[in-house]
Amino acid sequence: MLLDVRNLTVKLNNDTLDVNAIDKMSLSMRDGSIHGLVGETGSGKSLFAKALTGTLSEKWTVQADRMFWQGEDLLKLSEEKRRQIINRDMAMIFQEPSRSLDPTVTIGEQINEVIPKSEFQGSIWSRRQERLQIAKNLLIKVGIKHYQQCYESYPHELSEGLCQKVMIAMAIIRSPKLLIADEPTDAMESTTKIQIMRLLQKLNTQKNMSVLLITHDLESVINYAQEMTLLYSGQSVESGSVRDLLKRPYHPYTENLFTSIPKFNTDTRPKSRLQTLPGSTPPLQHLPIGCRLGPRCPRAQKECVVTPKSVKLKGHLFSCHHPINLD
Amino acid sequence: MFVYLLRRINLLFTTLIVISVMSFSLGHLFPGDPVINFSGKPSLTYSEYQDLSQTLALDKSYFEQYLAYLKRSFNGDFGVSFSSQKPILDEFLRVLPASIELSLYALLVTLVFGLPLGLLAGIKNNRLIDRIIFSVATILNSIPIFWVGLLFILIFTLNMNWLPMSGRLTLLYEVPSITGFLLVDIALSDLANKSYVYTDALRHLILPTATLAVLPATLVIGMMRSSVIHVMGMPYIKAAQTKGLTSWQLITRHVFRNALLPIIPQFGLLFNTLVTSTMITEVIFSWPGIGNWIIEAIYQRDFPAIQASLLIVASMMISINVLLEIAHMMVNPLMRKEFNATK
Amino acid sequence: MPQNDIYNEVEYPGPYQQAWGKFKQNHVSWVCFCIVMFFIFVAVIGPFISPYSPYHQDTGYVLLPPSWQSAGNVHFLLGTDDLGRDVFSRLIHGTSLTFGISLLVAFGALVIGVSLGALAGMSKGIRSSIFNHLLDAILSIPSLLLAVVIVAILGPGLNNTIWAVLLVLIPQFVHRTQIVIRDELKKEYITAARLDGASEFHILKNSIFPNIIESIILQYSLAVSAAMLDIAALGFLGLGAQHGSPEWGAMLSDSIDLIYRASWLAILPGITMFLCLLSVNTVGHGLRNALKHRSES
Repeated sequence: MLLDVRNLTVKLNNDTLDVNAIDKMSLSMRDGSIHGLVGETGSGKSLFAKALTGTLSEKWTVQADRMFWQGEDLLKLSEEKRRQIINRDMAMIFQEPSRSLDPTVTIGEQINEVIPKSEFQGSIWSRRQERLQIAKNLLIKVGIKHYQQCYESYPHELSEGLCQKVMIAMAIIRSPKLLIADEPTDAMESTTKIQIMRLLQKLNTQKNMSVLLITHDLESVINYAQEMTLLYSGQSVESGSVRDLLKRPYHPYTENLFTSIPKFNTDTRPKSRLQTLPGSTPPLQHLPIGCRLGPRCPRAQKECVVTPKSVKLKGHLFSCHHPINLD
Repeated sequence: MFVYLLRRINLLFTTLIVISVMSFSLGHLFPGDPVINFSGKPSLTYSEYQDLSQTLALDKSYFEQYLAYLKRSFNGDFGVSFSSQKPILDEFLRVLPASIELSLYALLVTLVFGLPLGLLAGIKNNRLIDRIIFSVATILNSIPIFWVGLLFILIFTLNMNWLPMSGRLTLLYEVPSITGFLLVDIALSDLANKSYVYTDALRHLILPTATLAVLPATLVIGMMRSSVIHVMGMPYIKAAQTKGLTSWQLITRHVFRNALLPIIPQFGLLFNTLVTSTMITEVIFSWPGIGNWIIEAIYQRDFPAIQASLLIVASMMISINVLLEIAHMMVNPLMRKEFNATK
Repeated sequence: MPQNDIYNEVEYPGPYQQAWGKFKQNHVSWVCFCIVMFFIFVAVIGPFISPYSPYHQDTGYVLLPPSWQSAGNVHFLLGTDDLGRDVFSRLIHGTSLTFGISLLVAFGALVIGVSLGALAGMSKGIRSSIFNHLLDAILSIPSLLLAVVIVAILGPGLNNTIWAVLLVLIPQFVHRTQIVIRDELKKEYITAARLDGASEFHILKNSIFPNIIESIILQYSLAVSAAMLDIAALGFLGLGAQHGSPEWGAMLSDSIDLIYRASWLAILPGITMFLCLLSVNTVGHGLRNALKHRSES
């Protein structure tokens, strides 16, 4: 097990508000897999990534039963030790890559500064040459053809797709065990999107680098990930292998989500409505107690005001009082 | 880039023309006869008056008068001062170095204190240290500069008797003026006891410099702080945090640079404040600089001097502003992007 | 999003209410706001309640220290100056002179400056370019120098100072208004209104103005403190209010000769002015923070 998080709670402490933005969520990842973390906007996906890497601001407090990284509990370690492990083993890429690169520094310099000292073999005098060589190899590796031009450019002179490739290049230089991709293809054209996703997949298979793919795009998760975890309003809904979940979802939300994907091959009538749940996701100020899907759930009953425990069944982990497809 | 430069220089010229028109019209707006106001010679015989009127082109149309004025200004002829009857340009150049010297030291103090404190406050936003720096800056920002000067004199001169109250040097020492910059002049002079003279000059410098630096320093702290807070919230800083940089690398390589670049054009405002403050500081500490000279000129109703000082000081400010903008354009890649985008 | 509003009982405060609420949450700005209100109160009715006339000379009590010192006299709360005038009364009158006039001058500049700025902001092409050059030229002159030059044309005196300060403040308002209008014009909701066929004036009045009014109020608070500084500085330099006037700057300048013997004459007007400036500036800061927080949340 690469990563094993149990009952993670992230609390927002504000003068007007005191809520659990993530409420007892669990997630575990196998070594070398692509794991999709899916949820609507505001369901706490990015928050999870930040809690994992320890980059949350002071307004948030993080609690968990355990947060095991290769058998070590990250929350029990000292701040410094934790930083070291995270810097060594994890890397992160973001949505809007062009805004995630320092706008006043050239790409080359930005790549140079993240090259770890251990990469250099030659003497101090050949450093300059070596740096250039390493940076160029990296750019080629992530599939940038005009690497020379890219090396000398400022971020605003490159397209979003190129910027994301640069971000990935900077992320893989330390050959991390886990790459956290926080909506890496948000607001990109579909061809660029496919390029980026292919690149991630290639890195996953060739370098055995696990990827935590955080997205709201169900289709790319279905296409590229082996396992997935569904989040709703900060509560984990269901997790398991993608194939199983597709075939037999236990949670009503999961089923609903899959049916909401438009399918072009089936006999959908023209101008018919896609199936959705009534209502909208609750804002942080008005979270329902118990199962947060409660007010919108078609199968909600009296028990749903109590937070459901997660149940493990045939490799699925789900939290629902009244699951479907059980028979 | 070339087009940008051209545009800036065009702006510089038009603004300078506007300033010169304003300065020219002052000669007519001031009470008294324009001939006397432009030339600076108060008691003229009738024939002298006619001659001057001819040479200054004041008997022709306003436009021709203006052209003649412009020509004289370019040749450095601003008439003579009412009070001393010496050419104004000479007077001006005599007092300019003292002001520049004082302002330079104040600017140095401002930057040395303002930038790091602003950076620190911005990074530690909402912590205790930020609150302290920010409150002190706000409080200092609200103290009228002439009161600061008075307080300094009251505390350090009258009560403690530590520092001298006025002037650039004790009257005992006489340093021949070569460049006008006192500290340079002392080095160039052949005085026997140079170190004593140096200490004396520096002791005279402390209070005016401190007085002058207070307001600009608080401004710099404020600008730097809000700029740093803005930068710290940007996604690229968060991204850099996950790249495994130490906080020191992060601050020196990314935060400082990105926070400083956008406030470079605002430094024009800083110079503006500096000039205003210099005028008052010089009056309080009897510093023989431009500010003192201008105020003296107003007391004496020395119109040619006022007119010339408006023209020269305003031109200097405009040039500094334009230079700052061009410098900003050179060093900030984002500006080039905006310019290319709107071209 | 009316159809999605499942929580009917929740009332969302309007933008002004929100900013005001944020502003009140910050205790420091709230206290300073009260102090500013107090100063306004004193400026308006102060001249009627002051114990003595500011020019009344009590020759029996010359250079009396403040009443808490052993040599002080309780009839003259903050002491007297070299001509036996009551410092307390002079400070009260000074409030209406320095602070009261600053408020009015800044308001005058606001009305004129904002109208000109609106004209300039909405216009395009050569007219706006000429206007801009003119504005740049005036703004590049340090404000005190400009005021000094205007005073030199008109001659010294408090009345002429007012004109000078007014003329100095107007370009700043014009500049500010023009910038914020330009910024608003770039936004999509203005384009939407324009596509709907709204006239320029309609856009200005109904779309732009409600969105820039707060920055204008902010600029007003800056202008008040700038006006106070300029009026007092001119008074201090002897170019504004004349010697003997209870204007704060003039009082400070009068105190220089006596600074050896009567330090309270230099300290008291300074403290009053400092307090006033500090509260005005802090209110401005609080306002800016409140607006920023609102746009973030």
